[in-house]
Amino acid sequence: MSMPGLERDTDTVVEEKAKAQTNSKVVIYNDDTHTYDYVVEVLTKCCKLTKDKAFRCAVETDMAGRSIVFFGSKEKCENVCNKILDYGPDHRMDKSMTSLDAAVESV
Amino acid sequence: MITEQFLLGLADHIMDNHDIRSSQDIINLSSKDILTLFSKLPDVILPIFVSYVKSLGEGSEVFYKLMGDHEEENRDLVDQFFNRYMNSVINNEGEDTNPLLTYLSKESLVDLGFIQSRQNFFMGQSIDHINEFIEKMFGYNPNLGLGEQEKGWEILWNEVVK
Repeated sequence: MSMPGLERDTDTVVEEKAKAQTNSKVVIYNDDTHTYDYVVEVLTKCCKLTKDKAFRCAVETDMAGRSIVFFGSKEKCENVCNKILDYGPDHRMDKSMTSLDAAVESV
Repeated sequence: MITEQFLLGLADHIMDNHDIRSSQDIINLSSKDILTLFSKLPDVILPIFVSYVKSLGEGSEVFYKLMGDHEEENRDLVDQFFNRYMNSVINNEGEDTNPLLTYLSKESLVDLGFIQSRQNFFMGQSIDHINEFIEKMFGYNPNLGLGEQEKGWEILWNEVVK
């Protein structure tokens, strides 16, 4: 037997839970000390993106200055962001001394 | 040397139903037209043309055009562009090679001065490569986590001075 009212309430609770779990995002910023190869490597490992998606984010960062690379709860985003910030410099470039710049923002 | 005039002339030739004489004419192309133009550029010119477009200072706008303005009808052109561009600029060769294994051979580990001089190089490697290097050289995987390059260096140094 269907109970439309209850169904609606349940949907709302699920929606609110989902919203609370996706209230933050991780953004990376452009610079000239990291290669496309490095950005793709970092995003596939730290954000679990596919190589194709990671490459599109790398191109967006290069062209538009920044790219959103991860959505999730604040805790998960901080975890991903710290992985990016701790990844280390790009060994492909002599002048690369640091990791990519990244930050957590509210959605 | 490839000049702006060369790139504009090439674009004008490819897009024969458009009059392309300036950088603004490129920026004014629709998403579908710019993707069509890129699809007809030779492989060697594609990254040069993308850099040129990027240098025009409208990077954000151009990127969304390269994403096809999120129109389903542009999807094939978008996928085609990103596949070609990725193959042009990503170095797939040696993707799985570990620079530490290439440049720090087992024989070199007896030369402490040489090893010391490679500290910055070592610290610049990914943690996966450092774990793999230590395992291959010393027979155990330290399972270091992200950001633990310095700990990796300490392990290497302690092993070579033993």
